[in-house]
Amino acid sequence: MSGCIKDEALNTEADIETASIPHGDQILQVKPSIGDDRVIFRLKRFSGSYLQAPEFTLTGGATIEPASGTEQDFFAPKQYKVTSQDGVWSKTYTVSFIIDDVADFYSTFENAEVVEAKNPKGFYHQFFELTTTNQKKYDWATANQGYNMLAATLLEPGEKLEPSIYPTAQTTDGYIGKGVKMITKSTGPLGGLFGSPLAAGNLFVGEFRLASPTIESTRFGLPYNAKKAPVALKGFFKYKAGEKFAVNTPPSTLMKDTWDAYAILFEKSIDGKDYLTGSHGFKDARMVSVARIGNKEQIETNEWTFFEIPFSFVNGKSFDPAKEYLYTIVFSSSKEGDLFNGAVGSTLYIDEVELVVDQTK
Amino acid sequence: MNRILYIVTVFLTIATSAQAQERVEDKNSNFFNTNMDYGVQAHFSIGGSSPLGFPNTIRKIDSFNPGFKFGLEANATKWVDEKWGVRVGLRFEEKGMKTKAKVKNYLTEIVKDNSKVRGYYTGSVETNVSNTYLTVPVLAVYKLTDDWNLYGGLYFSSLLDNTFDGYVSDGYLRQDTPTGTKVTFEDGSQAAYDFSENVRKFQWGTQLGAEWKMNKHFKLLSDVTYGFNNIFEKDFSSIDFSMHNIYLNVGFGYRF
Repeated sequence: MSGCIKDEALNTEADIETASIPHGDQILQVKPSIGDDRVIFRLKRFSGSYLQAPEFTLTGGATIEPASGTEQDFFAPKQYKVTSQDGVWSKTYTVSFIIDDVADFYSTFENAEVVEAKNPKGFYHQFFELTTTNQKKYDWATANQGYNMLAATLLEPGEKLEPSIYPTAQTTDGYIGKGVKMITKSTGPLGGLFGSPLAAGNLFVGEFRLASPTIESTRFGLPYNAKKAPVALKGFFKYKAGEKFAVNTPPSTLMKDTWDAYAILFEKSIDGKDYLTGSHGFKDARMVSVARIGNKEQIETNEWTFFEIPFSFVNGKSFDPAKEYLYTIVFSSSKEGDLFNGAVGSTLYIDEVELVVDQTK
Repeated sequence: MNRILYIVTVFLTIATSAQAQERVEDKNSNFFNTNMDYGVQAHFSIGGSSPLGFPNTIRKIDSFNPGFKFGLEANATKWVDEKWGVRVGLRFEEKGMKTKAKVKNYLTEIVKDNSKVRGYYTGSVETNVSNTYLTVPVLAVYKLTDDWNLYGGLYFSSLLDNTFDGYVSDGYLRQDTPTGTKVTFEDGSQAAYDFSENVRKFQWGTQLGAEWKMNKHFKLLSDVTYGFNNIFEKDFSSIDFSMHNIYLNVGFGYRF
C-alpha cells in the first residue's frame, strides 16, 4: 500500500504557533496570547521603552515578514505577515505589547469592535478596553468565534450575518450607556456533531481558543494585579428565561433556565497553565477564592437590577501578596451552559461590572 | 457466522433443485438445453473503494480490513462454438472494507440536514464501507483447455443496501481555507460523518477472470472487478476525488 502514497505536498497553513521574547519569564505577566490573527504580550512593568524583538515559530516551512527576532518599537501594535510554505496562503497578525499594571477592575462595556471573520465569513462583537497609554486590551472574551463556524447555517429567514445574531453582543440599551446582551442560541443540526448542541451567551475574563471538546475552548483567567484579595463582584443585570428548557447532558439540577455569574481567584499552576477551562466545575485545586451568584439574585426581571456577591476562600487557602494570581469573571445566559443545558432565547443583560478589591491598609 | 450458513444453504438448495429439474426436461432439444451450461457459484471478495492513484492528501494507510464479503451467483453459459461462449448471470454481492488512514489537507465536508461545514482536514480518518448490490454480469467465456476457462466482460449493478460512514479524530479542520478557523479534535474527541445516502445507485464496470474445472461439476474461480464510475453520486462534493470499486473475488462453482 505504501508504494501508492504520493510525495507530500507543501504546507498550506500560515500560523504563528509560538511567540516569545528573551527573558520572557521575568518580563511577561503571562505567556503571550496567540489568537487567530493577534498576538498580545503583557509586560509586567514599563522598562523605559517598547523596543522588543519578538521571536515566532510558524507552521512548518512558512515565512514571516518582518523576520522573527527583528527589533521594533511596539509603542503602537505592529503587523506581521505569515506566508505558507507553498506561497499561496497568507495571514496578517497584529502584534502588540501592553502594560496593564493598574489594578482597575471596573468594566463599562462601552467599547466593542466588530470582528470581520473571513473563513467562514462573519461579523461579531469583541469587547475591549484601553489602558492608561491608550493600548487596546481584550480582557473580556466571548464564544462568538465558535458560533461563527456555524452562524451562516443558522440564520433565520430575514436575518443576516451581523453582530446582533451572535450569542454575545454589545447593546445600546445598557444600564449606563452601552452594555452586554447574552442570548442562548440553538446550534442547529451540525452543533451536536461539533460537540456543542447549544450555545449559551457568555462573557468572561480570559480568551477563547477553538478546541474540541468545545468546552475546552473557553480559557478563563488573566493576571491579577492587585495586592489585596478581591472581596466582591458587583454589577447590574436583567434576565428573561427562554421557554423550553432542554437538557443535553443529563442529569440537570434545574427545571427552568437561569443565569450565572461568578468570579474566581486562582493560582498559576507550576506547569505554566495560565487558565481554567470551561469544564472546571468549581473543582480545580488551584482555586483560592470564589464568588458565585445565588438563588436570591437569579431572578427574572425586566428592570436593571443591582447584584453584589461576596468572595469566600476555598480549598483552605488564603491570599498571599507575594504570590502571582490569576482571576476570572464569568457570565452566562444559561447556568448549565457548560453542560449545554438551557433554553433557547434565555437573555441576560449585564453592565457596569466591578470586581471589588479589599481597600483596607 | 449465521450469514455464511445461510448463503451455503441457499447455494445447496439451488444446486439440488436445479439438478432435479435437469432430469425431467432432458427430452426435446431447444436453445436452452443445447450447448448450455447452468451453474451456481459463491465467492468472497477482498478489495475496496479506492481512488485511482492516491491523491497526495492521503499520507498513510494505518489499517485495511476487507472484512468477510460474500457473493452468490446463478448463471447460464451458451456455447457458440467449441471455444467461445456467452455467459449471463444474476449475482447478489457485498462490497466493503474498513480503513484507517492519515490525511493532510484533505478537502471534506460535514453535512447534516442541509447545513454544512466545509474545510481542510489533517489527521486520522476511519472509513467503513459496506454496500450490497444486485449485479448482472455479461461475459465472454473462452475455453483455454479442457480444465481452464477464461472469462471477461461487463457487469451492471443496482444498489440494494448502502453504508459509507466513519469518523475523524486526532486532527484538526481548517474551515473553508487552509488559513481559516481551526477546530482541533484531540484527546479522543471525534466527529462522525455519514455519506451512505450519497452512494450511487447504479454501477457498471468490467470483470476479468479464470476458472479451473476440478471435475464435471465443481470448479474453482477467481476474478477481478473494476467499477467504471465513481461509487458516489455525480453531485457529491464532500470528497474531492472519485473512488472506484476494485475487488478480487475467489470462489467455487457448481455446474449442472
